[in-house]
Order: sequence, then C-alpha cells, then structure tokens
Amino acid sequence: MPQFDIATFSEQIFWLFVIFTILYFLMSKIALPKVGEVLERRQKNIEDNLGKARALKDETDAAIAKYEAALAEARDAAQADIREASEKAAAEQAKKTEALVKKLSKKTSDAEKAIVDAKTDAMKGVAEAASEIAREATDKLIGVKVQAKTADKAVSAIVGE
Amino acid sequence: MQRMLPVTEQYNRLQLSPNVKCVFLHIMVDKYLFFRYLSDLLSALSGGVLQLDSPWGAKYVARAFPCDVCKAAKAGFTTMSDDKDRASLEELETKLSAVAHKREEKHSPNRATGKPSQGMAIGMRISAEMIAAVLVGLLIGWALDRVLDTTPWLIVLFVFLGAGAGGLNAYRVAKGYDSAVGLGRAMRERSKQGDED
Amino acid sequence: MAGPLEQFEIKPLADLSVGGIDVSFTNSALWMVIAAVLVTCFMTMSMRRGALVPGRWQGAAEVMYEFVANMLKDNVGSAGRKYFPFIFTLFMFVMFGNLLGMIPHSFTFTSHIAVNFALALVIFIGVTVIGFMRHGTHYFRMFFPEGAPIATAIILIPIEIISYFSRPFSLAIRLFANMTVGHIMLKVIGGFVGLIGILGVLPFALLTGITVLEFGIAALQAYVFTILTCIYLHDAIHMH
Repeated sequence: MPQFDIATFSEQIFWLFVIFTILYFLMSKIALPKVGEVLERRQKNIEDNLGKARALKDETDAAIAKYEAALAEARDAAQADIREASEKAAAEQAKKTEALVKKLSKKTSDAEKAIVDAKTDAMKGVAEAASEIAREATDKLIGVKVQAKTADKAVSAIVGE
Repeated sequence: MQRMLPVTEQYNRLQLSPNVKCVFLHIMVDKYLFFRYLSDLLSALSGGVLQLDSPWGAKYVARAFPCDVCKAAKAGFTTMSDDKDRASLEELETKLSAVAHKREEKHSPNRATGKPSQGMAIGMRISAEMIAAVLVGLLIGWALDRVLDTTPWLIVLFVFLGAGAGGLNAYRVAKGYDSAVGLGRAMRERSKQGDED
Repeated sequence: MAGPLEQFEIKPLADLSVGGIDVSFTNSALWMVIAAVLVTCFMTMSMRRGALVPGRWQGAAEVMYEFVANMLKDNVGSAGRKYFPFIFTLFMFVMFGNLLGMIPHSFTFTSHIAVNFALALVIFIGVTVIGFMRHGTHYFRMFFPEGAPIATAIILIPIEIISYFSRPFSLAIRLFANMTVGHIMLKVIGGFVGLIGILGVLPFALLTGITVLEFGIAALQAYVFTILTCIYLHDAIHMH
C-alpha cells in the first residue's frame, strides 16, 4: 500500500505544514475577518430594522389607541350634548304648554265672566226697558201715570221669578 | 431567515383569498416536513454526528413561517376586508414577536447536542477507536521494553491495556459520551441516569 | 487496467531536498495547493462585495462560516473563539481535500496516513498544551477518574493514558480508512463496469450509488474530524 511507504512521509508532511500554515494565515488575516464583519453588519442592520419596525408598530398602536380614545370621548360628548339639548327642549316645551294652558284658562274664565256680566247687564237693561215700556204703555192706554218705582217693582216681580 | 423574508413578503402581497393561501400553506408545510425527514435520515446515517438543524435546517426553513401566515390568513378571514388594516397590523405583531423569539432562541447558548449515536458511522468510529488504542498500547509497550530491556513482557501487558482502553473508548462512543475523557464522566453519567430511573 | 491501489501512489513532480531530507514537490503537494487555492478563492472572491443581501456564492461562504462557528460554539463555548480560524481552516482544508479526491484521476491527500497523522498530532499536541496552560498540573487529573477506588489506579491510569494517546491515532486512522476504502471500492467496481461490458449496467448503478455515498462520506469525515477536534478542545479548556 503506497500509504505505508515511509520514504514519502517527509515530503508529504513538509508540504502539508507549508500549505496549511499559509492557508491558516490567509483565512485568519484576510478571509474570516471579512465574513465576520459582513455578518456582524447584517446582524446589526436586522436588529436595527427590527427595532425600528417594533417602534413604528408601537407608535401605530399608540396612535390607534389615542384615536380610539378621542373617538370615544367625542362620542360621549356628543351624546351628552344631545341628551342635554333634548332635556332642555322637553323642559321648554313643558313650560310653554303650561303657559299656554294658563293663558287659555284665563281667557276662558275672562270670557265667562264677561258673558255673565253681559248677561246681568242685559237683564238689567231688559228690566229697565220693560218698566219704561210698561209705564209709557199705561200712560198711553189708560192715562195713568204709574210711578217708576211701582213699574220697576212689577217688572222685577215678573222677571225675577 | 434573511432569505425567507422576501418570500413571505411576496406571499403576503399575493392578491388571493385566504382559502387559496391556506392551500399554499399546506404545500409549504409538506415541504417542511420533507426537509425534516431528510435531515432525520442524514442524522441517522451519520450516527447522529450530522445534524442538519443547525444552521442548514432552521435557517432556511423558518419554523415560525407557516404558522405566521396561517395566523395572518385567519385574521384576514375573520375580520374580513373591513378591518384590513387592523389585520395587517396583527400580522405584523405576530411576525415581529416570532422573529424576536427565534432570534432569542438562536442566541441562547448550549443547545442540546449529541444524540445517542447509531448506524453505520458508529461502526466505523468504534473500529477506529479500537485499532488506535491497541496501536498506542503496542507503541508504549515496545518503547518501554526497549528502554527497560524487558522484552517482550511490557509489550504483551500494554497490548492488553490497549485493548482495554479501546473497549472503553468504544463504549464511550456507543454511549454517546464522546466528550468524556476518563471513565469518571461515564460513571457519573450512569449514576445520574440511575438516580433518574 | 491499473490496480486499485495505484491511485494512492505518490509521484514526485519536482525533486527537492532540504538538509538531506527529501521534500520533493509531489502530486500530493499539488493537490494540497489546489485545495488551498480553491478554499482561498471561495472565501475571498465570494465575499468581495460583502453585500448585505448575499448572493449565491456569498451565501455559501457565509453558511460555511456559520456552520463552523456554531460547531465551535456548541461544543466548546465562548472560550473556543480564539481557535476559530484554526478550526475553520482545518475543516475547509480536509473537506476540500476529500471532495477533490472524488474527481477522477485526481489524488486524495487525506487518504494518506502521514498527512492525517501529522494533522492529528498537531491538534493533539496543541490541545494538550492548552490543557496544561489552563490547568497546570491539575490537568493530570484527566487520567484518573474522580471517585474511583484508589486501588484501581494501577490499572485505570495506564488505560486512561492509552486512551488519551489514542486520540490522534483514531483521528488519523478514521479519516485514512474512510477515504482509502471508499476510493478502492469505487475503483474496483468501476473496473467491473469496464470488464463485463453490457452486463456492466448493474455495477454501474451500484457505482453511481456508491459515488453519491462517497460524496456524503467526504463531507461527513471532514465534519467528524473537525468536531472531534472541538470536543478535545472542550476537554482541555473545561476538563468537565
């Protein structure tokens, strides 16, 4: 087996050390630092971007929360306004209705009173007129001048019943 | 992972209904399972020495990926198009947390390594251990014999000791105590196991 | 038809001698140079742009880097960081040597026990020196298991010493045996294909299968060589 030919060992081992050492220095001084640097840069970049994404996401969340809070507040305020307005309107309405009712009832009572007055007046007028007519009629018919007092009495006796 | 991101991006931009997306998803999961199968096979063939999980496996088959998409699709499906923005935000959230989780996992030290070995590779390793140990025994015995002028007694003794060492090394390899020099570790491991049993 | 062992023959390309020792430049050295040049090209050309989003070649170089870095981190821990360039060079050199051997009519320098043993010996001596530097004479405790009865020392210590010294041998022999056996097998079965003509279809299928397997073994053995180095390094640094 050629592998056990001791005569070839020295040259193999010599070149192995030479080439391996050169390769080692090439790797450790040139190739690997470059790869490490690129990987590190990428790592940092990713971390940065992730951080940024996270921050933006949080910001968005905060904005949404704020917006929602503002929306809810506005809705509440609007509802309160509406309630207040409607309450106010209802109160006004009630007041107006009451005033109207009062006014109407006053008018009614005034009118009733006026009617009663008018009726009394009218009745009075009718009695006076009746006694006048009666006195004149007696004077013309029978020539008897009846005392106004007597005529009034007679009329009121008829009307009064 | 860096490679997967553009794909997810493209995937999410697909103007497809969630149902269609789910179909894609299943195909992806199948591929993932196939990859797992392949890596398990390789791991078994290499006697547990070769584990595709790091970094070839985890790197290119982002574990969280299918679940994220599924969640996103589900979110899109339930919230419907009304809350499209909300759904995409939720998706972003799940993605962000998944990525953070994965990075944490990746950077946490001491993932368990070295499953118990098996298969063809272990046979090769055992034979190499036995031969090497006997060889070293022979060498030491021969050298001592020459120095002490006791030929051939020490060489005989050391061949037996070498065989013993070879047996010990083979035992360690078979038990997966690769990293253990010294019987002490092996014995400790065994007593630990005994405690657990 | 050349014999199956012919492929392992060392042929001098340029005779050379330093201080009476033969250091001829041989086909073995030539393939080492090719491997080293390829590794260097692969690791530098692909990273030339150093892009943030890697292309195919850059991605491959980064995968190799991270693969070895993870191997070292998982097996040795952060204390192994210092030795990363060495471990990486070792892995790439052995792997390229193994894979270049798969090219027909090439030469596999890792199929030679001298090369493997020299590498293994460097690792062994280096690891032992690191162990003694970190732990001083305490490192001798490696050779006697804790808690074992003192009477067993007389038998256990020689066994442990042999076990410790068998490391470079097992490293070298494993790589040598895998590479040699694989190449002999390929050569022998390849010979069958030529010999029996049309009936060579069956050996051809076998040959294809074994070639695929050999590619796997070429990468796997480089990995095993490297990971065992990492494990020895772990022992020297941490002593469990």
